[in-house]
Order: sequence, then C-alpha cells, then structure tokens
Amino acid sequence: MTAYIKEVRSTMGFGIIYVLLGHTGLWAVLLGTNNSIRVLGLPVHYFIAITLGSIGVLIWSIIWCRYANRLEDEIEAENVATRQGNTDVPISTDVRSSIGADKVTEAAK
Amino acid sequence: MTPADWQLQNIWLGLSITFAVFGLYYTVALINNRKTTNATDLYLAGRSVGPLVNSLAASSTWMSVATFLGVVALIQQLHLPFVYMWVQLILSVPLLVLLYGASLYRMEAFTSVHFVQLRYGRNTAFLAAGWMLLIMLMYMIGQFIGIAKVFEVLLGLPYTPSLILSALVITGYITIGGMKGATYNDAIQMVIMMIALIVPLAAILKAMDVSGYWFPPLGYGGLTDTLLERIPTFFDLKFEARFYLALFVALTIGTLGLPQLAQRVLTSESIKAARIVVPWFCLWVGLMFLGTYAMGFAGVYHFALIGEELTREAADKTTLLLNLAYNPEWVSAFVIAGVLAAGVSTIAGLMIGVATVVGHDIVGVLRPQLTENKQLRYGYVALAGTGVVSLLVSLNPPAFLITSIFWAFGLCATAITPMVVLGVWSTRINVWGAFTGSLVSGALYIALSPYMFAGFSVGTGIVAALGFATSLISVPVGFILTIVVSLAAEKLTAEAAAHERGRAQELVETMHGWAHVTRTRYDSSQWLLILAALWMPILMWGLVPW
Repeated sequence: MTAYIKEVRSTMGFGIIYVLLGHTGLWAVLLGTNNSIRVLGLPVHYFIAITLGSIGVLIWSIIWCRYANRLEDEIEAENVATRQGNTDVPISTDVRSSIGADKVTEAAK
Repeated sequence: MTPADWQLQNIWLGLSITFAVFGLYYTVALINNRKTTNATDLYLAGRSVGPLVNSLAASSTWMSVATFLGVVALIQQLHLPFVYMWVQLILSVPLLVLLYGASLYRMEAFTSVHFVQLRYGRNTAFLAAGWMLLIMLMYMIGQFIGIAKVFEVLLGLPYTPSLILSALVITGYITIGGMKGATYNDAIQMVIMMIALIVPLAAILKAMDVSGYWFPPLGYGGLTDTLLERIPTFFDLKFEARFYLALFVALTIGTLGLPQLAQRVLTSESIKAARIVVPWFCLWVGLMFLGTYAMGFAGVYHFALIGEELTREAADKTTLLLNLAYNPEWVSAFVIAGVLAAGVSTIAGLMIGVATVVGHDIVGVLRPQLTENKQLRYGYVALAGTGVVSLLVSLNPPAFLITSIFWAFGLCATAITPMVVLGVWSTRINVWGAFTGSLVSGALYIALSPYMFAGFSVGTGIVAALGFATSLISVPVGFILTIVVSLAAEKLTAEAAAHERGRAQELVETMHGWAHVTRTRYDSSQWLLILAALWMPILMWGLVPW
C-alpha cells in the first residue's frame, strides 16, 4: 500500500503547488501591489506572475516528472511482490478485455 | 485605422508565404498518409510519438490565432488582469497528465468520451460527446474565422472566399495526414510560431531603444516608466478576489478537461514518455506566453506613446501593426505565417478530436462490430465531414457559437471535468452521479449565462460574458451533485450500485497501474464528502451578487 499512499499524497501536493504557481493574482490581492518595487524593470507582482507562471511551472514539472516516473517503478515493484504472494482479487475477464489490462504492465514500462 | 493599415501591400509576398507553408504541410501529410493503416494510426498516430515532437505538437495545438492577435488586443483592453487570466492556461497539460492522463493511457482510451463510455456506459458517453462536440465546435469556429481574417490580410480577398479557401485547404491536409501528419506538422508549426513571435519582437524592442531587446520574453522592463506615465492603472488588479478565484474554477478546471489536449497525451509511445512531454510543453508554452506578454506590452506602449486609440478590429491586429511599423514587410509576412501556423495547428487538434469522438466513440459504440478497414474509412469521412460542417457553420455562425472560447472552457469545467477526474480517482462515483451531475450543472451553466435568458444571467460585463460568474455556481454544483447523487444511489439502488461499484473497483485500480485488485484503493467516500464540503463556500460566494 505504500506506493498507493504516495500516489494519492503526491498527486494532491503537486497539484496544489501547480495551482499556486499559476494563480499569483490571488497572492497579489492578499499581499497588495507596489509598482515602485521592480525586478528587471517590471513591477514585482507582474514579474512574479509571469515568471512563476512559466519558469516556475517548468521547474516544478521537471521535479514532478522525475518523481512520478520513479513512483511508476515502485508501483510495478509492488505488483511483482504481490504476484509472488498473491491473495488479492484478480481482475475479471470483462474489465480486462474492455480496457486492455494485459498491456498495463507493458505500458508502465 | 482601416484594413489598409494592416494589409500586406505586396500581394506576391502573401501568395509566396501561403504556398510555401501549405506546400510544406501537404508534403508532411502525404508522407504520413502512407503510414496510416488503422484507426489507432489515424486518431492517435499509432501511439508512437516521442516526447520532444509530442511536446511541440501539444504546445502548437494549445497556441491559437489568439496567441498572436486576440491576446495582444485583450492586454490592451484589460491590462494586468488579462495577463493573470492567460498565465494559468499553462497548467492545462501538466494537471491533465497529473490527474488522469496516465490512467487514460493505460486504459488505451482514444478520448475522454471513450473513457466515460468505459467507466460509466454508453448513455453518459453520449451526453459527454454532446458537450464535447459543442465545446470543440465553438472553439473551431473561432479559429476558422481567425484564419479567414489572416487570409484576408495575406491575399487581399474578401472574408467569405477567404473562409472557404482556408477551410478547404486546411481540411484537405488534415484529412490526408491524420494524427501522424498533424503531429509532425504541429511540431513544425510550433517552431515557426516561436521564431515568428520572438525574433521580430527583438527587432521591435531594439527599434524602441530597449536595452533588454536581446531577450524579449523578460527584457522589456525599460518601457515600464513611460507606460506608467501614460497609463497609470496598467498594473492595477482592478477586480475583486472572487475574479481571481474564478480563473481557477472556470479556466484551470475547464482546460484540463479539453479532449484535444488529452488526445495529445494518448499519442505518446509510453506513459513515461507522456510525462516527459510535460516539462517540454511548459518550456515551449512558457516561452511563447512570455513573448506574448512582451508583444502586448510593446503594443500598449507604442499606441500610448503616439496617443492613438485603437478600434477593436485594429487592436486585434496589434502584432501586425507593430511589425509593419518597425520591421520590413517581408518580416510581417513571416509573422503572418506564424499566425497561420497557430490557427491551423489548433484546428488540426480540434478536427481530429471531433472526428475521433464521432468516428470512433459514437459510431464505435453504435456499431461495435466494424472491421478495421471500415473503422478507418469512417474515420476519414468523419475528418472531412468535420471540416465541411465547421466551414458551413462558420459561414453564418449562430450567435451562441461565437461567444468567447473562455465561456466554452467554463462549460468544460462544469460538465466534463468532474465526471472524468472523479471517475479516475474514486470507485464510488457511478453512472447515476456522473450523468446527473453533468446534465444538471451543464444545463445550469447555459441557463445562467447571458446568452440564453439574459434576465437570469449571473453577474454583468466581462465576468458574465466569459462565464466566470456562472462557473462559480455551476462548477461547485457539478462536483457536489456528482458526489452526492453517486453516494445516494448506493443507498437507493443497492444491488445495481453494488455491481457498478465492483466493476469500478476493478477498472479504477487497473487504470492506475495495479495488476491485482484489492477493492480498497480509491474506495473511500470520506474524501469525496470533504471535497463536496470544500466546494460549498465557493458555491455560497458565487451566489453573492457581483
């Protein structure tokens, strides 16, 4: 279950940070704006909005991508461990055929 | 200002650009036509596209005519708030892949409608298909109209012949190439777009004596003081906090449900490759967005400096006007090639999206025994038909179809995203909740908009026109209804709901990559109730008059 909990928590965590990076308008409403504070000549709240909404999201995506692909391997490792001492319910034939479940493991790789 | 001010004077330049770019697109389409042997090739490029090409194609699908024309005009009209509206659009693909892209990939779904069909059955799939076709048609008509206007500028033709010519040329190359051709063409178009926006912008900033001209995306700060002297309110927030919250509710949640973006993820060669698309996508789109803000800023600065008020039509052409003012005419012709690329690539994504929904999801459900050859033939007919129908509707579009695309995003957030995202993350969401939530909230969104019953419209001005005010009511209603009706159905239809839940447990665990079903993962109702409770204050805030 470890990988499952990691999947749920990381999805929420990464999702919330993504939303915060792309929605700095609400920060500006809360913290106020001041056109005299400048970065590269641009008012700071404007600069933060456009850089976090581009470079910030890019950096966060690199981190997420690495994490999610590692988690994929952990899920696969848990699948292998479960197969060795399996007590769970196997997937029924109708669901397996409707979603191409045979290719799940292959796709994950 | 009149159309003569942004018209290319040298008609041969316009003709050369048109022939050169479409010659290239048709060549790529013809090469890829030979590689299309089945429906998966036609709709999903055989699930064979690598991350770099796919990221360029996804970015290109996301960049529309508006990136070059409408956005710059809106920055002139709305100033800073529009930048905040635009910034969050970059979250579409990252959130889509994070929340459900990988799951749809594992299910081998062709579209979100296909997912809905597998998860909830055919009736809910038909409802989802109806909403998606409406959203994509609204999107596509805007693009066709934009492209026709670009042809007017390029070739000096009247609007209607421009529309017919552009629609036929575009439909032709997309139908020939299918998703493979469209993907490689989209990637080429993205490169053209980036060069056409950034390089001429550097020349414009240099001509304006801006020291940071060598890096246009962030190098225009030298214009700030002069701009603030002319327009002191440019960097003001102008709207209350609720407006900025609505950007998340209506736009972020809306765009992550867009089928043409989801389809891009599904063309990837593996799940890991699909994830690698995300950072590349953010790089290309981030660069383009930064360039767009810089172009908008330069446009506002230029016209504020010369003291000229632009009409709405002229404001739409700011990018062209700036290039004609500061660069040679051949540069403007290249910029127009960039605008063409932006419009054409978006239309390609939408056309293939519509064709997949019609040719694969709807026809496939109605006639599941079709042979591979017949599926392919239906696919080509669906692609060509999509183009022709869009052209016919665009010739004289009904008023409700030419509302802003932002309004359509709100509809997507209301009627599509809840059932897709909740269906991926919870086994407790069932057909009753998904169908009721989508139908009721979608109908509510339309009914409360200013386009149906003006007297019932929520909010006024831009927040009503773009669907922000309505979304703050309909999106919470969509999520809450989907959850509450699903859980209530478990009590009311015990046996049927138990069967549905058992099937969902197998489906949901499998789509997350688990080889064996435990029936405990994604099965809690607790977090669904917490989520519904979190939407309540937003709904209450949305009900307060604007």
